[in-house]
Amino acid sequence: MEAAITILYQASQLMLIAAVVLILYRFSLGPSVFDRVVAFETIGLAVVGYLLLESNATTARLYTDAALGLALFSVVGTIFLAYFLGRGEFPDE
Amino acid sequence: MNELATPLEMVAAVLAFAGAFLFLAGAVGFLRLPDFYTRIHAPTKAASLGIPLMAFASMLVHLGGGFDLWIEDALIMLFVFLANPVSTQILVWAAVARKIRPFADTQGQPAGDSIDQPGTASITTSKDNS
Repeated sequence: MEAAITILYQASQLMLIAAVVLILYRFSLGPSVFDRVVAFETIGLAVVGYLLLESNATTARLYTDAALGLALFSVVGTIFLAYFLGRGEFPDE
Repeated sequence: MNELATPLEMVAAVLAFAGAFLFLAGAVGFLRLPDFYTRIHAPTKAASLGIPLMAFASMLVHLGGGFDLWIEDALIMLFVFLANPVSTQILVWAAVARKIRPFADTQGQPAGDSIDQPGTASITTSKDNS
């Protein structure tokens, strides 16, 4: 029982690490700056997921606060970067 | 962790595994798709569902363990599920305004603004033709 749960959490963390490696490769390729912004946001959210999994696996209560703060800063930072890149010139609907 | 695992913890582990698998699928789509507009949808969908799944798993563990931390997991779940599609929408608006070119097989044009510049994905300001 415990071993199965530990193996599931470790496999999940390995999949998140593989996702971060793929996103970093796209970050190095990225033809436009928008790809790099999306890669930045997605790496932040992957770290949020890793912290949540680590919080579950080790029952350490400190990781959840860090995950909440990182989620807030990642998504709101992406919104500000999008406004900066768009320069207020958004297309009409 | 010496005690036997409860069924709640097993359900939480399976949900977290599903969320991590969604995240990996989104990363693969982000690497392989040909275009910015097709490329942005994969990690957005994956993160908008994967992070709330992992947060819901963490919430189940915290509720089962008697911790008070489940409200923070609920906040992560709600915030990512609401704000991540909004940030993606604003990024796509900015990309259309900066005339990031879609790939060659794209049919149709974005409403209100036309992207018809040949060449590679170019970043130009749209001030000189408006």
